[in-house]
Amino acid sequence: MSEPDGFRDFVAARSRSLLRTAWLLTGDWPTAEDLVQTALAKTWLRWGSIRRREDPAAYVRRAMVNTYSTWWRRRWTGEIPTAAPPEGRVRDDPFAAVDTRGSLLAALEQLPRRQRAVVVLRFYDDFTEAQVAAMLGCSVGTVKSQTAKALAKLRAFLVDEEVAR
Amino acid sequence: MTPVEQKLSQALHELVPQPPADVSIDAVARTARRRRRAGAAAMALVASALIAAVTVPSVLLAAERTGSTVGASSSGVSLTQRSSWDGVVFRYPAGWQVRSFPFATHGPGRPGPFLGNQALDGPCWSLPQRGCGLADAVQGLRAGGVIAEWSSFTSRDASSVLPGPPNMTVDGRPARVTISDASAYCRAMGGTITLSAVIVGGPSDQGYALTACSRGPGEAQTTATLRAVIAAARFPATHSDVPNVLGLSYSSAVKELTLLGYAARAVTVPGSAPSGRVVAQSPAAGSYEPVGGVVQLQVVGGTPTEGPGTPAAVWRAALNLSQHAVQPHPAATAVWTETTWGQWWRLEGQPTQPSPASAQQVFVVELVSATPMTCFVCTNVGPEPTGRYAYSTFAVDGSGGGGFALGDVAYRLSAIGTVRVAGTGL
Repeated sequence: MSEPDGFRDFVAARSRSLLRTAWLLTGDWPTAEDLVQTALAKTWLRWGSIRRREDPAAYVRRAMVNTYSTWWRRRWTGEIPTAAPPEGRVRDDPFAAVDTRGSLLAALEQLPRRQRAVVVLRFYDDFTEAQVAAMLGCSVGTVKSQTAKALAKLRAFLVDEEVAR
Repeated sequence: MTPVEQKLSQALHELVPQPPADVSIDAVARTARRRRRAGAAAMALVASALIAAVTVPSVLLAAERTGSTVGASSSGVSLTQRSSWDGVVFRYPAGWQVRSFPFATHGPGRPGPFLGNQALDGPCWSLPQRGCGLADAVQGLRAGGVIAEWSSFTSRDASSVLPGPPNMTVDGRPARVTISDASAYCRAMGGTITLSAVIVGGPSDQGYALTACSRGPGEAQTTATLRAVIAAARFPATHSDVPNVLGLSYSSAVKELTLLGYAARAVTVPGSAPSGRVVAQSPAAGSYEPVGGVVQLQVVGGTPTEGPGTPAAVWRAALNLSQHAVQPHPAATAVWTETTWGQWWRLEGQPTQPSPASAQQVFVVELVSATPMTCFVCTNVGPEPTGRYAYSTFAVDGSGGGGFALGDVAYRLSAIGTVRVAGTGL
């Protein structure tokens, strides 16, 4: 199976951007890489028709989000016993920045997959509601309602951050 | 955007770290090829199912979820499936042996022991570099001999026309599974498929398949088919009773829980009991819970330091011997994922704490295996006891990974720590 024309250039140009979005969706690099690779592999198999019909980047991103939404859970779900339980945040903690990142990531992980995808596409990738609706295959109204629900759940984090500052 | 939305947007942009590396085009190509092969495998299974149905009418092609015995009873093998999926048992007459292929090439992520009633002294047991599959085993059979392969599969392997477990989905659709690898090998060697059975219905992302192949072409003799297979083999249960670990030390509790397939998570609490003792557990003892779940423990005072497996002091000593200065990092809880890569399992870790700029952070992993493992791309530290434990270190700077070639492996990540690299050994 030979490499389709232009595919390598496309991957080189877009992969980092896709990886960042995938990281926000999955929360870790290995899974993000798997997600991007899976989406790109789907694109590879239909590269010819995709190039003719639409923007390949939009196709890959849609494939990535759809794959993420439906991905069966990882088989290995074991957890490592930790030697010490995680500590609460301390004011003037030099690691506060790290904690903030962890808190937001944890807040994102609490969201259902569809809401998380909406948040990432809307507020990280800066797509419009109509574009997000097209990617997720739903109505603009659904995107709005999912956004509102996600923001309501993230509000606790956002308010908490404000207090901490 | 509202102020809240702007704040969220800014936080998200600050949250994403730099990707460790670009996506590998080669990896994408391999994934694409696998997807294409999966489609082709579906066609192969249709063909094999037809062949089996024609030549061996008494063979059941797919196990039904009836809770009754399935398989060719006249041949002496019985595949018993219970409706609960707990403890599915393949029962075979005595005299057959189970031997696994450490480098089996018959499918990604499929530990596949072979069952045979003949001694197989062919090249498969000497670990050829190319690996070996059912074809080698069929080749090693005497005329009239029969060999069977059982394998496990997950949704990653699901690609064909037999129904998978009811809750196994692929891209949102009910999974279909295939056993065409073994069937294809059998046909390729001029053998005859004498039994193909898929056992599904478990609550987990896993199923089991059994394929038997006789040496030589021609119609299979039903009475000779699997006349003497192997001793009983118990498949892992998916649920079990949570053990009572109250009063045990933390390490003993974790050991007991992991033996039954549970993961433990502990928090320390004040109390009058001796430090390190488990004073509460959830779920409670006796609960009937899925294997693989987490049991929350409350441990009195102190810090529960020792997990299951080899004591930390042992691998720490091995690291010291290999010029690595050990610096335990109790806060460095790692996020572990696994990637199936052919018959490789790649484990990758990502620290949740930032690494000191002056040190390369390295995780120590202990994998418990039922069979020997060989570590290829990672650095072994210390001796590797035969078939029991393998130790490996690998950098987790975002691009590091360790590879383990696994055969029939009951793998468990059971010890973890971090070290500071003192020399240039890595």
